[in-house]
Amino acid sequence: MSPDIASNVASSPVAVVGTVALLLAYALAAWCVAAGVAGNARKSRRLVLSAVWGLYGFFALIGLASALIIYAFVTHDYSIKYIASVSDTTMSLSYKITAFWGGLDGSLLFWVLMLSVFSTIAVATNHRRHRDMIGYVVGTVMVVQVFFLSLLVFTKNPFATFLTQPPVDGQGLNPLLQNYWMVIHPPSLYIGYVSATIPFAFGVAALASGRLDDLWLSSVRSWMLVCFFFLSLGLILGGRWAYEELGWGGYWAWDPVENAGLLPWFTAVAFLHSVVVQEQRGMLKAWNLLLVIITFFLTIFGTFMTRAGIVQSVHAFGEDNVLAVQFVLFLGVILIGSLGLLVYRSNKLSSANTFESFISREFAFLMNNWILLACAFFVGFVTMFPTFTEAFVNERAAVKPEFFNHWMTPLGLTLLFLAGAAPLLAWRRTTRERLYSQFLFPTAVAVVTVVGLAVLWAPSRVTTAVFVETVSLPMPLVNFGLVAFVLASIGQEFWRGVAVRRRQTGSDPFTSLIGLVLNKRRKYGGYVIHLGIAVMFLGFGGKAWDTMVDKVIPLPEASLKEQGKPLKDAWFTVRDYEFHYEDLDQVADDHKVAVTAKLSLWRNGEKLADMRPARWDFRKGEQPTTEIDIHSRLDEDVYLCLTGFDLESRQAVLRIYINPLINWVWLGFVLLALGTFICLIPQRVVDSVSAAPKTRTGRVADVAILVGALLAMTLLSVNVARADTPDEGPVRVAQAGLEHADEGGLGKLGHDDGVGYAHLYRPNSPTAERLMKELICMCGGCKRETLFACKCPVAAEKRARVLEMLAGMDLSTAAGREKASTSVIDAFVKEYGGEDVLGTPRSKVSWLVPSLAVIGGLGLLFGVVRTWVKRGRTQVASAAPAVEDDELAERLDDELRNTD
Amino acid sequence: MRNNLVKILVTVAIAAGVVGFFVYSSLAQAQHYKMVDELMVKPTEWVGHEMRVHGYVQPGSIKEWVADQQMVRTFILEKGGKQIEVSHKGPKPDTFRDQSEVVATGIVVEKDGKYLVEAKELSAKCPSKYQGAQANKSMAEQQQPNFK
Repeated sequence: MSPDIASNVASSPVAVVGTVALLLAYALAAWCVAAGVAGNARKSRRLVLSAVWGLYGFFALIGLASALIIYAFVTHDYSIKYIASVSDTTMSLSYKITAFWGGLDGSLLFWVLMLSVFSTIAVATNHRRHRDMIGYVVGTVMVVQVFFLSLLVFTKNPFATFLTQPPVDGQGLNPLLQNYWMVIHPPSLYIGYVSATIPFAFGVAALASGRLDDLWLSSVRSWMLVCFFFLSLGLILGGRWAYEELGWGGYWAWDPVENAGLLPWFTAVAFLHSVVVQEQRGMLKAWNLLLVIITFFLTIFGTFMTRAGIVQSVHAFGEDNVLAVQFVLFLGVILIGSLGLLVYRSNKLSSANTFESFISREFAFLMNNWILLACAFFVGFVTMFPTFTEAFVNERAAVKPEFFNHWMTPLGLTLLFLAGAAPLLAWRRTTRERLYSQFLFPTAVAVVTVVGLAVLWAPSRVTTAVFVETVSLPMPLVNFGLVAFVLASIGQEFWRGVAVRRRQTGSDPFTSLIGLVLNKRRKYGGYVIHLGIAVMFLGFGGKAWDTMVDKVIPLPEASLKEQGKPLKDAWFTVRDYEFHYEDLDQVADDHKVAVTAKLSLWRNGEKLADMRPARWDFRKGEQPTTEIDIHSRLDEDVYLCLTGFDLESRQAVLRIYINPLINWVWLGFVLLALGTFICLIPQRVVDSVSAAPKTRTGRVADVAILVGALLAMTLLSVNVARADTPDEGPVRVAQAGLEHADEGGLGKLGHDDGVGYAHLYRPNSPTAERLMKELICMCGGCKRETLFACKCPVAAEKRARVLEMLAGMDLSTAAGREKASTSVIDAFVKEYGGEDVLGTPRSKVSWLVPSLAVIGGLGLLFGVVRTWVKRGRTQVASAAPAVEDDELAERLDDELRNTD
Repeated sequence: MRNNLVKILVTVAIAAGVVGFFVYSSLAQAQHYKMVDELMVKPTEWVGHEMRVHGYVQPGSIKEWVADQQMVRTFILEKGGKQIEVSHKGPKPDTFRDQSEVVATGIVVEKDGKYLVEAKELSAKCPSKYQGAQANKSMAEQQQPNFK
């Protein structure tokens, strides 16, 4: 009998209540399935209402169970096995709370909680609109909940307690996982996964009830957008985490766990596009239902892949045969049930129209569907390949990660082409004139880009394998050409859209742009997302000519000086960067021993940054961690990893990566997020900022909100600009409380304590105090505290220096004080090679930019409000409809139809 | 009706063709994946093949030194009583130490009757978040959970 079975609850009252809550929830979920399905089938209002309220009650029970788990973490209830296995007393509060999803049992409860939150929202907002199928929606969601709860209740109870004496302290979460990535990356992916259940539930309900008109689509679009956004966010965060933490210089390795998150992403994107065709032309109805089913299936499948140990991977969490069987059964039930319903209702899914031409927007969308499905199939198949071969041929085979790129590169570039081409095509059939007028500009830009790059820039001619190893094409050229094509195509769309709207409304370009985007949020928000994707492809392209170099430097400059050897031996060159190896440092504290290589990065004789790649060895016996350091620039990243060292000779072994264009990947994602937000703006917000004549208070409120938003954004960007210096020391895990080398008690002492460093070298004059509040301690801590506030030994040292420098100066006159301050600041700026050491930038430009932004924003605002007021007056004045010019109206109609 | 049938057949044919093509190309790129004990049953069969070899690092067998601008190491992978030597150049994974579970990707060669894997890539198990810190201790240590 499994010791985790729900009946085993010993001494902890939290465990008892928690387990009971789970059991009750399980029973309630089963009731909801029955009541929802039966109520809908028999059109019994009472049963359906009972199911809906049951869903809300379920949310309350699961909320209780989750609160109890968090409470148990915070109060260190180690009699509960789960708490003991993933936390310990020394963990900070935020990690204790996030340990909720740190282990398998808790992560399953987290899934149930998220699904319960989303289904409550979905049902509450939709049950009036979908009275005739809400019962089926509740039933479907609850079937999923029953499954997960059965896992929790029978085998993986997070409230299971120890049979024997509970441990005094928990085992703790691995330090490699105690960072802010662990806090945000798993929940983001979970939210993405779970939010795919809602569209699935509505799709199944639509099939079951036979209400297959477009109504179910409209409820489901926003959920799929949310799913898309959180999956994208989770994937990007995972990539960034790997890039910053794991030290292999890349951000995506086609690892099975990574691929598990990517599979539903493909089908969610396909769905988001495919619904447009159903709405505009009444086609692809069966496709949409199929995509919704497949997306949900892939989320469960992805969860299954990563938890049940069926795939070997460095991420793999070990085998669990019981879990594997449970998942396979559930997947089978879902597939047979939903596909069966699809076949049953296939007679209601015929298209209202047919494809009239290959050069039509419908066909482009169809191609999009097929290619995305192919991508999902490909990635899924290759990921499961070792498992299949082992099962069928008894011989485990694996595939090189590079193989993925052989296929995904051409497939991805085809999708990129479609993203640029589809908006240019017309529905039904694109006439030759339209084809020419639409494609001319983007194609010209693409051709110029390709030819220009090919001629002027040799690295772009690098060839990589496509589909098979033997075929090799200059993919970077194709990539950049297509990126240019998409950028030009979208730019053209915005341009023409604004032009039409200006003619329509007679307003200035800026207002027209806002009006255009707000009026057609899905279309133009979608364009912004495509812009983001194009920029990300720009970032992906840089991989083709990245550089990786291994280097051994026997002696740092510090040692060379001591031994009287030539100092030039401490320098080495990689591409057009020069590295200067200054010293090898070892610092020990209560938690770890940190060996840091101190280097500086130079180019063309100018110092770019200090770099501090390190290796941390934890005393607790966990494995050491490599702390890489990155110098990020728009055109490339310089990425340093300390792979080996010798403490006696101070020899350092480094691996240097130069990653071109990589930061465009992250920037592209920001655009993607912006586009998604635009798509999700609710109609109510748009109505409230529209130019309908309103009361004076209404208009004042509008202006106030806009001004407030602009000011807030400016202040935020100024703050970010100040804190965001080019290099702040090693990119590091934001380990709570471990920022400074002296953490281990001393860092917590204040300025008045007799021991520690904070009380040393306090300012002895107002000038000194002012200077210490202006200069930032460069000890490498994330907080960027001033010398006045920072409690580490480096700050004490620097404060001593300030005092030393001021000692010989004349501080009695205002002029003398001014001179002294300036010379101290100059000295520090010179020593650090830049203004990062200052709390506020000296140059006037840094202040000019935000001020200009505010003034410009206010000016813009004034112009916009004036136009609104004028239009409001004319609208009121011309209340009587003007005589319509039929011909003009028809021409406008034509143009508008074509821009849709 | 006939038109529909033709469409379906063409779609299926194209899909089958694409799938077939890519199954063929993936088979051509496959690497064999073997545990050390499976590999050493008949090692001559695998000489010259690119393999992924999965095993545990024998305690005390790791030797590391600097050569030719990078870190180089040799160690012994063992499983089920069988052993094979592995050589590797470059940075090692953070979790790489005695008794850690490792997959070495490289070519099997024979040198003076002994077998060796010239690994171009080493992967060691990630700290499993579903098993807390305990999973990073070796199999032997895991038998005695240590409650502090």
